[in-house]
Amino acid sequence: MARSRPRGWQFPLTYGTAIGVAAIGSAILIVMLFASINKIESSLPRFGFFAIREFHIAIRDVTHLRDMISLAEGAPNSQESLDQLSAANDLVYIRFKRIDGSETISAIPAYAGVVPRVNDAVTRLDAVLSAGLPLDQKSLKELGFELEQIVGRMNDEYYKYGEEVNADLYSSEVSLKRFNYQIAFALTILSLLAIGTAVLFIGRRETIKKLEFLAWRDATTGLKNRAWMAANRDAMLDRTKEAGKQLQLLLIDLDHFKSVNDTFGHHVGDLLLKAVAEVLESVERPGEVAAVRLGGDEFAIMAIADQDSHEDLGQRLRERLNGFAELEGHQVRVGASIGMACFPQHGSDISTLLHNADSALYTAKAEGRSGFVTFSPAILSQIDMQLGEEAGIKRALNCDEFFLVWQPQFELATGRMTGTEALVRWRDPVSGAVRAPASFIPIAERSDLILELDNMVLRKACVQAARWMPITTEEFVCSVNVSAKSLQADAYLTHLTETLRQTGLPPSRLQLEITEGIFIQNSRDALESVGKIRNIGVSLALDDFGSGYASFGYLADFNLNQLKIDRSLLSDLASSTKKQNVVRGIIALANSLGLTVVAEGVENEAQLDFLIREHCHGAQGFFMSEPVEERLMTNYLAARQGGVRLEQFQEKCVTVFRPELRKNKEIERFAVSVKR
Amino acid sequence: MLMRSLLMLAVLAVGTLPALALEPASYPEPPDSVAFTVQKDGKPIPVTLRQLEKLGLYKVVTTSPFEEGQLTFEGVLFRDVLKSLGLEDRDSVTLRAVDEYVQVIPHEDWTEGPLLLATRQDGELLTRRTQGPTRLIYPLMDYPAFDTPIRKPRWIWLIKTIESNN
Repeated sequence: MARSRPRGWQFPLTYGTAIGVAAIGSAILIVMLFASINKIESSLPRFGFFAIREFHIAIRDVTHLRDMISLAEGAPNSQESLDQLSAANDLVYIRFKRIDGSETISAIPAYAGVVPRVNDAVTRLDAVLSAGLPLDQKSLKELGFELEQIVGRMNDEYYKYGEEVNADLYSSEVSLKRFNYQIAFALTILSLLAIGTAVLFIGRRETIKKLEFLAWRDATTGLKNRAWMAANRDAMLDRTKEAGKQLQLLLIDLDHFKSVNDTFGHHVGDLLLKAVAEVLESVERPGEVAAVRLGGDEFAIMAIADQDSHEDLGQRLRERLNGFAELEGHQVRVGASIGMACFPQHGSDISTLLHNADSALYTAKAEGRSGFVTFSPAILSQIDMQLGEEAGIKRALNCDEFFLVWQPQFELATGRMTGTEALVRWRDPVSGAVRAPASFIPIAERSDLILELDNMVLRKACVQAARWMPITTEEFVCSVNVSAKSLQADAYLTHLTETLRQTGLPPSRLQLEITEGIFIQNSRDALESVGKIRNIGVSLALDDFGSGYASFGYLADFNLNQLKIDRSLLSDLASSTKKQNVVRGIIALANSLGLTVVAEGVENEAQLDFLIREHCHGAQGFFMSEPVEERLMTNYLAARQGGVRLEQFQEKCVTVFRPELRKNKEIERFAVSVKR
Repeated sequence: MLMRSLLMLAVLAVGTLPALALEPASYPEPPDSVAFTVQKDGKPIPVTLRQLEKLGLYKVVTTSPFEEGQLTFEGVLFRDVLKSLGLEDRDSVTLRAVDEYVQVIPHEDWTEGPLLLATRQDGELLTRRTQGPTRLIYPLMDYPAFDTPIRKPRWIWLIKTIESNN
């Protein structure tokens, strides 16, 4: 399966079998060795033993001859004694005349002196015997005496030499025994070494297994890891090609994994990963389907499938991965987006497949999560466009191509400008064209660029608002839009306090405009940071009220300052009494909750009249003023504060601030002052 | 494997060739005197020289651990003797000499090689003076495997009886 594992003959080696085999082998060796030692012992030449045996026989023969002679002395006329004497003489003759005594002589040198004397005695006895009966008693007596002496001499030598041989034999026996023990000792050591080697060998195997696990497996989930995939993906592709099948590459990314981690803790996050890994493992089949954890909350499945089994696996996984999981008593919503690319349709090499599966995953994420998307070329162009846009935004952030314009807000009861909303614009450096937020904010929101963008807008707005502090009253509030994504980020609150500290802007002069989306996602983080922002003293407005799916519940739960009526409600206000009633209702609701209401997108006099009639607190829109650059706003504010004449900017101001606006005194005065 | 076993067989054949190729010899019939007695199942059976030499004489030139130089013996194969006595399949037989010297001869000694029961030396019948009337000869030159220390005491002469062992 894995390329790393060597193929071929493999013995099921365990500690038990290895030690058993080693022990049996050693036992056989020891038995064989002892047997061979015994054989060596039995076939060893008997040091000197043969010589003394021969010598002993010689003594016996000579003694026998002496005895026969003394018998014959007593019965010299008996034929029997002649025969016996003759036989005994023949034995001695054979022993001393025919048998080669050189070996005995080399061991017992005294034997050399005996041999001629015995031979002489034999010759003399032959002579006596050949003379026939009766035997010559005198000669027999002399011979008997001679032999008596020889026997005595031989016995002396025999005992002397016998003792030497005994000592020799004993010492050789001792050394042989010692040899045996040495061999046994050596064998024991050898077998111990063999066992030790076996144990070491197995230990090494175990270590290799462990290292392999560490190298090829992910520690948290036990799934195969990125390194395994890198090492085996080409082999899998090759096998697919050989079998003429289809290789499905699925990339799986958990949705909102970070928020699970943040909400329930990393422990639950790990459990979630394990639960997902279990699902993925259940579809794993050796050699065909491999589940891999690429890192973080990203997983991959490589599956060799038949050509026609198109989306079965992906759909099955999507169904099994999306739902709720009970982890440590928490109900955790699990969601996974899946992107798939297949060989050979979507690429012929692994890197293309990976890239395409990643694109499909990206699309699945973008389409709203928990989806399963199979790659197609259309996806690629769509993503390319988005990626191009993202790169553009990134560049714009780095090159400071964004700038703010300010939309004034007017209090309808008095006609005073009570605040201004910061709006972001993007000036294209090449064409010089200015792009509206709608063309780049959604793209930024899809990636994490929105965080940087929000931070940048906040910083610029605060810097500007701080500059206006000397020429405005306490009540003049600058509004800044903030996305739900930023609110969920931990860093945003820090950034906010830090920006306020650096610019010296009092929190009461800043208002953050949030959207309803944050309440829909119901993220604990976001809600917490809403509370914290209020605690700092920064006021909060709910932007685009009435356009989303907002429920009224959170209006009571959260400490908001302002509702901003969405521009869509004002669009056909004059013709639609229903819309009039809705706006009326919202104003009443806000009043009853103690919130101020500001209408957005006031574009004509009729809308303004209606709002004034219904006692709406404030309004902003093209009818009063389009968003203006900060220089113009600064000039106006300065003029309002100190009654300074602003001749050099007069022309420009007239085009921006609408002179027709004469519904009340303050607005008229504003227009007049500009006109002058 | 086949080649190896064939080679082994060839070596064995070469080894046993001299045994098969012992030179036959013929001499005038010896006197019908008793050479030794066989004790078979408790019964004494006298064996004469003439009976012995009818089994077929072979000539052997060998060295001896007891005598100097190369010696020439004539005699019958010990195997043939035991076959004629019906003792060929015994595990061993015991040979006893006139001077009560006793040796046990094991089965393999007469099956492995041409163990000779000599009746003559240099063509002359063995007498008591020449360690006769029969003596056991291990042909060391024809069959070197016989030349082991353990077989040295089995060179028995002045044979008086052959006793069957069970």
